[in-house]
Amino acid sequence: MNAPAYCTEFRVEKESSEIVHGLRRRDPELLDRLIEQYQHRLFRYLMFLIRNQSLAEDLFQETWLRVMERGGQYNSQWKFEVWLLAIARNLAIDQMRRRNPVVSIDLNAERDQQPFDAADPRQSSAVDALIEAERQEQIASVMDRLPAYYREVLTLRFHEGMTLEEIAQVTGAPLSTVKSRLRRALQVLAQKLETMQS
Amino acid sequence: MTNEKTHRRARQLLGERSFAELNREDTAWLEQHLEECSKCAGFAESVAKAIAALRMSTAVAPPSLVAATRRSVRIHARLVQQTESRERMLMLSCALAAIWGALLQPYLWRVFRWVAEGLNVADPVWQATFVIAYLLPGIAAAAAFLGRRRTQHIISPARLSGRRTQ
Repeated sequence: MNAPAYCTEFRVEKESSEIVHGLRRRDPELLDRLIEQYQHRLFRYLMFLIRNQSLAEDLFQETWLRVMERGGQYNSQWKFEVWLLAIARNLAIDQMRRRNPVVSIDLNAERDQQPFDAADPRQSSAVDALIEAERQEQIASVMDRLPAYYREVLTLRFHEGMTLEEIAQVTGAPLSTVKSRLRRALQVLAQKLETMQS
Repeated sequence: MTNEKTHRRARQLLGERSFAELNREDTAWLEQHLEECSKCAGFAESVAKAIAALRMSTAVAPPSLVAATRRSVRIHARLVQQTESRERMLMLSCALAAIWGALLQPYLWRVFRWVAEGLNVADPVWQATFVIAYLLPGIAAAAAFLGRRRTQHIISPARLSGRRTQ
């Protein structure tokens, strides 16, 4: 193993072990740091999964409380992010089961609750920003119509940049299922976008 | 050559290419097919655009939610720490009481027998009384302890409603 790779691995292991000890002690500073670090990823994942802002906010809080309470169960062999999203996922499923049939996991969110913000206009010209915003609108609209298990793999892969193995850990699905869901989700997404644009 | 089956294969490979590396043979086949088939080339573009748009789109956790979550987690972490500390003390006290009780047991037995003889109480009665008196505090402590554990780690909806009222 080369030196930079060894250093990175060592740093990740040290960080995981710090998290393990901090979570066991319920260290408020560590919890604060973790919330700061993972706030957007967790919220984005919940929004993509359930498409309901108010419910996503409740689950966001509930997930961190669960992390604090069950911190002793965290193992340094796991990536914290994977463990966090798996907790969020289980809570979301429980919540959906409790709320069903009033709110279903595939219920379309209101337009003003959609999670996609337009790209930062300062980074591109006004026209580019407008085109980008339009594309985001289209994507949001198409995503609203995708089943939750497609939305989930898409966000984990393309937003969170997770490996297929990590997605399988979060979703508790076999690797082959993750692959087929991703392939299918992309096909459906591209087809719907094509139809919309034509 | 280009029939539905080849289009389907191309689309399948296009999806797969976005999350895994294709082998050399598949890559060459796909590239050639995309050069020949404008329909699939258009589809490839749509997939690329969809992925780019997915990567660009963002959902940001509202700052008020994050602040409320931090407060809530801090408060509950402190509460749980206090409860656990109390529980540890309770367990320690129970353990010490049990050891102390075990050490005293032969002397207590003699005291019970002496009192029973003085009061003319039948042997089974004073012996049963001794067993109950000896075990009752332990049973009560264990029941209280288990009762507390069952109710302690439940996230109540009231705990979550704090954010909206703040």
